[in-house]
Amino acid sequence: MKKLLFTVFFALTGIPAAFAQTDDAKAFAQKIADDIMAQVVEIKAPLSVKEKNFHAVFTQAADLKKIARFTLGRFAKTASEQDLQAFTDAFTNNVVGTWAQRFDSYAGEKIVFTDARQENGKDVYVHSELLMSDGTNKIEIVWRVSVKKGKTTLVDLIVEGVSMILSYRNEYTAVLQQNGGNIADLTEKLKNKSLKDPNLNK
Amino acid sequence: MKKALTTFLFFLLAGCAAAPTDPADPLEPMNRKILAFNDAADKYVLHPVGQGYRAVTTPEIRKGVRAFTENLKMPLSAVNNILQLKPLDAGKNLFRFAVNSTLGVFGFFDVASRLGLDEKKTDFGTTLAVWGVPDGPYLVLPLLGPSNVRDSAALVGDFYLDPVSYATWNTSNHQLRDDEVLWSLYGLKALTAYDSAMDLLDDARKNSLDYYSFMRTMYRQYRTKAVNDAKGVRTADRAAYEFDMDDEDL
Repeated sequence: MKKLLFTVFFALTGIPAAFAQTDDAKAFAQKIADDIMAQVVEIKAPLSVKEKNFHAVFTQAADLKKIARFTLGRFAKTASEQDLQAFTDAFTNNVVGTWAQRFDSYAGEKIVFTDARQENGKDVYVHSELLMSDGTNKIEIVWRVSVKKGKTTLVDLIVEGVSMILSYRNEYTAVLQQNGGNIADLTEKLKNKSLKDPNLNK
Repeated sequence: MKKALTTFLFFLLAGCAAAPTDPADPLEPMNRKILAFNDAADKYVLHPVGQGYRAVTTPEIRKGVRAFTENLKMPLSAVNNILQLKPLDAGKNLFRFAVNSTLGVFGFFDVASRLGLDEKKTDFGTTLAVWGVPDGPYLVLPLLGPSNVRDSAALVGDFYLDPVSYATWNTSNHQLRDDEVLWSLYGLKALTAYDSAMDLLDDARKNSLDYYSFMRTMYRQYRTKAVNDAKGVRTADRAAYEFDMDDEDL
């Protein structure tokens, strides 16, 4: 009887659907983490190969058009389609380049997923911890996953409370504020960053 | 050194013609100048010192020294835990301090973490935030880097609340300037803090388009999390990260 009541309650409140969504989101984030670990962090290959692999995993998982648009803040509204496309490409390459380099110096870290929660029927936040190789430090990483119309995409990573997309937006809008809202100029700056030899300005 | 001074003067004189980038950062022109000074100090003084430290030590030694200075921060964290009405966390930190100071040989080995005793590190800036004091404008401190008005003022509070300050205080005449132990400790703390941050700062400088606004947003978000943690709110549960992706208004 009790079981029946619970079933009715769940059916009425739609909680099973929410459970399914958080589970999906968790599996989704876990898959991305596994792929990055296997194809970028642990693989014995030159940086260019790691970069290529990460590009594939990242562009597959993340909704880059949406993220790039978000990082431009209010400047996205008045941007031309052409500028947006060029910026999205430069942004993607820049993010892939910087992170592939960072992953290159990783060794022996492990990522452990804890739980996932959905807030107000919106995006799912999947919690995980990156255990550093020295065994004492751990870094909290929250994966923000959007589940909309059957499409699951990664929209943000929140590392120790710092949201990646919010950080990019704060930085890019500061640049745009200084250059008079010139997105083409911002794109050019991003491209130049990506081209720079990583060992030059160390 | 002369070069550093010239660079510093150049930056000050050149001023900052850039338009303000954030309405919540009224001190931006001054902050950018201090950041330029910090950058020069970093390049000519701190970085060479940090690299020298790495050259004469092994990673194991650095890990031990870091554990030692971190352990000495536990009593202060415990005092702040109590001020934040979190006696359990205070107990944890004190227990950590006791375990690491004894079993961990004066704190050089972090035995407590291996026993699963997580640290609940906090500071007076966070305490003030829990008490409802707003953070005030963003502030870049000379040499110390990103801060805000509340957290800067709280540094003084931390100095006077820290049991370690009193333990190492020259008890015969109560004069701080005579006390070499205390200042050596501060030097060691600064060195390990810089050593831990050096690679992150290099990475940020290398990869950011506007280092200033990058550090500003990092510091703000990082502190928001520290305060939320102290209040017992999970950061991602809060409105802070529930921003709507489709809403493009800043």
